[in-house]
Amino acid sequence: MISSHSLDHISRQWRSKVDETHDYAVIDHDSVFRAGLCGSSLFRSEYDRLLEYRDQLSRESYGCTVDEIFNGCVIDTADGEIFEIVTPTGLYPAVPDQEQIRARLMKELTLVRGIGAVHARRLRGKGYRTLHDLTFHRRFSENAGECIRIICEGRPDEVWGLVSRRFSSSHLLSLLSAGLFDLSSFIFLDLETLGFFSRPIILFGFATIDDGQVVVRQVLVRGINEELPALARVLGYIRKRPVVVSFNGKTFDMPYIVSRAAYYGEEPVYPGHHIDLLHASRRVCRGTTRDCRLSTVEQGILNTSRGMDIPGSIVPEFYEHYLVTGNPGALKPVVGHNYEDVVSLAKLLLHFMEMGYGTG
Amino acid sequence: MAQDEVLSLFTTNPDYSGLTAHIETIPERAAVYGSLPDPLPEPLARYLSDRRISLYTHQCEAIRSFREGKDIILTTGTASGKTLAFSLPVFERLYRDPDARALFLYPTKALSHDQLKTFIDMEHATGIRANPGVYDGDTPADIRPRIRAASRLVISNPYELHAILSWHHQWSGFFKHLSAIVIDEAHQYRGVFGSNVAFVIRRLRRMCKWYGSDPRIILSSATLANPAEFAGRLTGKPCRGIASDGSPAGQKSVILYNPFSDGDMTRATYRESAKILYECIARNLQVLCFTGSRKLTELITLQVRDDLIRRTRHDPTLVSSYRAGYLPEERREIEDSMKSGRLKGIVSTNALEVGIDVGSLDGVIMTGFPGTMISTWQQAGRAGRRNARSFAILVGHSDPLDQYFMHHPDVFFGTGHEHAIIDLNNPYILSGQVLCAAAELPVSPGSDVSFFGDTLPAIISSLEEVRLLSPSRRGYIYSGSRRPVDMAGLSDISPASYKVICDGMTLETLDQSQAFREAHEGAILYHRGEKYHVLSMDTGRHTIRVKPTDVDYYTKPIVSVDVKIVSEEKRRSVGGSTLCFGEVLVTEQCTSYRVMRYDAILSIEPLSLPPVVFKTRALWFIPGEDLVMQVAQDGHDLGGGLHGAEHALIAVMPLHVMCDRWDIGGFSSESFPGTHEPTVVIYDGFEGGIGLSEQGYHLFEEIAGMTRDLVKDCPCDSGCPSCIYSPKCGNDNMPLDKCATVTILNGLVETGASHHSQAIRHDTPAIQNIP
Repeated sequence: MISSHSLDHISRQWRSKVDETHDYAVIDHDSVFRAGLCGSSLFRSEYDRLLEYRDQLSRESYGCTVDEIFNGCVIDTADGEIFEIVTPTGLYPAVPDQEQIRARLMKELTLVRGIGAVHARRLRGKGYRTLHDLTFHRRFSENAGECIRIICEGRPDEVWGLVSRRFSSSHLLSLLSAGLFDLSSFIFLDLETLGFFSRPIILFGFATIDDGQVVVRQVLVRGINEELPALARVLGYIRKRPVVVSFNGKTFDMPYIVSRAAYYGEEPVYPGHHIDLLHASRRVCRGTTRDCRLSTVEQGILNTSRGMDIPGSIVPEFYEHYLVTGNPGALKPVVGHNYEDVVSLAKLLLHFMEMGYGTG
Repeated sequence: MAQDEVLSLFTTNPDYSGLTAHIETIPERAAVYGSLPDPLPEPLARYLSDRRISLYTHQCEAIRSFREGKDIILTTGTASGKTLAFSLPVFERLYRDPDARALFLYPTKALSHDQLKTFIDMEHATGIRANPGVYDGDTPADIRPRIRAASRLVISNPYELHAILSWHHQWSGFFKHLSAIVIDEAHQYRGVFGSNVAFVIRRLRRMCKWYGSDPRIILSSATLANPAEFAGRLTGKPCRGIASDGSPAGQKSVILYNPFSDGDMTRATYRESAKILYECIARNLQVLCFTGSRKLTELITLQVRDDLIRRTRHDPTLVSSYRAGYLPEERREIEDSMKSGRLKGIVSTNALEVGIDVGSLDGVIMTGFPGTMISTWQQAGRAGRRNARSFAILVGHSDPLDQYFMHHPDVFFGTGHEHAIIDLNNPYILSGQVLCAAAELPVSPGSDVSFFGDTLPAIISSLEEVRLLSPSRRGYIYSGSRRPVDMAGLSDISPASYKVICDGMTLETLDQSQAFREAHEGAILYHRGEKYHVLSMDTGRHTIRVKPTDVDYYTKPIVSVDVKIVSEEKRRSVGGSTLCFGEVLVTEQCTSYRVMRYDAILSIEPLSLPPVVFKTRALWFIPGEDLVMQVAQDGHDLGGGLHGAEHALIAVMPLHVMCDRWDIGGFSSESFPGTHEPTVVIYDGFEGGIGLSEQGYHLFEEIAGMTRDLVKDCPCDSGCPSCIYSPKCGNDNMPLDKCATVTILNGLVETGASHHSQAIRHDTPAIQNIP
């Protein structure tokens, strides 16, 4: 009984409603005061500049297809086609010295339950320098013995378990002990989505260490029907790698993947170990940087800065522009931004591991 | 006995007996107990025997039906033990199946929390582990995971359910083992809200199907004329009705009291209410007095206090007002005073008819017809629990329905007329709900038709055009950048709804036409008995800012209406006239508004609002030629007769279709543009229609019959607010011709038969292939 004309009119109304607001607020007059009150915001001038940038990119890429702009390949999978961009970074991280890590851990008296920082200082003063020394201590000998066994003979996940349960998984020593894992066990993960949950993931960015080199893979969803095969691909990678490294992934990326898996009825995956560098960054940056966004942390800790970059909050709009027009120009900064994020994860982890040696 | 004294006022005291329209004595009813072929498990049987509870017939039937795997709708009266009727089957299931879960839905948070206490007691007393928990907007973030994981009995509300369905991966265990869904106060799910909730329930069932469960549904509702149809529309499943009430009831005297029966229009309903309340309190009776607004609540309380001091030197604090605005502690104090007997009278707004817990009362006074028979009997049911005697007094306003009941008490006490309306066809509601469903699980135009109806494929393809849905191998994926549940609120119809905001809090949402009519800048808006002044309306952001006010004036918009028929879907003859139903295009423009105090116009203020144009559903009738000729021959005005019929029909319709008279609009003309025929149109005041005029089309004979009696029996000469005058007429209630109206209505009704005693059709034919 409903005419298709009426239905179209109604659908257009829904479309306008979707378009008129976003998950961020645009602050008119660049009012700093107003910005402080909003959760996620963009100044009007910045917003306008970004839209201009997007239009410029579109003009430059007019008539091009996704394959022409990006150096990726189409892979046929059981659930459909995916478009994967593989970029070797040229980064060959030094393999963490296992001996050095174990030696450092052996010096950490606070690994023993019952010994806090103050107590550890006192014990060191009395001559107890390593866990081995503690085996001669009446009270702590048994505990220390157990720790030594794990550190010297344990598998990487057992050592990780010991340290991260004692200190928390974002403590520098935990990150250091993660260095015992084979480099091929890591997967660095960062997603771009159409919003904050309940909406599709549009870009799966992840990096693995293949033959010693950090290789970034980005599965770009060229049409929403590609989300499922892209998701399946990434789930496959995560299943084979016990250590997931992310930035705010415990709250965002992994739960997002779990929810999209549930949406499609796919078996979810729960990483064996998850290192969330946001928490580690917070510990390290406390008081020294303006905020703990990845780009800020990058600048503050790694001393790198990106060129023309776009804020994460504008990604949905840039992506939708591509969906509407078919022009992939607006996708360039999205893919670029994601690439930088993923590479930063690897660099940050290595940096924090280095710092782990120096503590205590 | 004090009650007899009060009742005798209405029979013997000349101050009251002259205005008494009717006294009905409903005889006491003994309890009828039932039996169960298989007894309840030991912990539950002991729970009942410890409390000396024997189960009534309807409670046993509910347990039996649930065991048989049937879906149920319980419509026994207030205080008939419905809570036990649905709790026992659920607890039995939880006992027999250690994995079973149950979901209870309530329309308000207050009711949710009351129910939680009951369940915790039951769990404690029976030892059946359920971990009941309330999961709603107030539930702190840290206990939410615990409830999701460990509660077998979750209490929530439709708003929360609407929001959490897209987080179903967090509820997988719960949905997988969901055995029962209990929906209490189900009659509240009607109109726009109810139609949205009907789809939320379907999305829930769809989710259960995905996880492999098929829960039984129990609806608990007030008495309706259409329980089976309503239940089927709300849930999508055929439900067995349990209406026969086995609970006992004491003798109840119901009095219809008409301050206007002698034509004296200077009396005020609230003053009569206050007088009667005073008489009750002075005789030490405990009475609850309901009113339609905060203002009246105050006025009555003040007057009663005044009388208590001056006339009999009683303590004025024997009566207290009770408002939603009071703090919970204050309200608890008032309730406790009433329970302990210290307080004798409470005056409250209708909004609190289900919220107050004051134990047993001697009587209830209703200041004006509460709007629906359901509310009336719910309020009357607050008095006289168990076998105690009680009374209920309805003091009538001068409104058409009130006056109609005063003159036709047999209709008031007759079989139920009220139909709860749920419209599963409104395309706005449907499309919004389909978007929500698509964000939870991919939507399939094949298998999801059983939940969303035959129009689903068309809706999907239309949404795909605007890229809010994208096709994939698993179905259609929601691909917008905003969450659908944030955009499609349960009280909304269309995306263009307006939010009414006071102090940053959203009070309600209004359709665009409602917003322009009732909440334009400068308007006085009523919400839950409280008055607000509209400060501003932002047509860009769709928000309306209001602040509470106490002014003594009110506002009435002057709306010019134009209606065009778009398509006719149904047609039949009524008497010698033609009745049609179909789609119309309505153009409403509010050009100005009146500031009024009582009946006096203080001023007229201009408005510069754009016209609201919307498509909706309507019924319209064209009087037969004979009828038109008769009006002319009698020398009466056809236009005035059509106009009067329009007003009166709109006044009577709410009794049948459970809406507000403001939810429907009308238009009449001697020479309808386009057809040039005399026509009266009655349309749903909501974009896309909401099933009201459709139901009106099906019940037209009954509605017309009642309307004819209303106008014919009105003692006025040429029309008054109790029959053909309408408070919202944009034409200043002109032209109106009472005689012509009666002639026309007579012509629509079968000659001779009196309609209010006719048996009511309980199930109207299915409108469309909606499950």
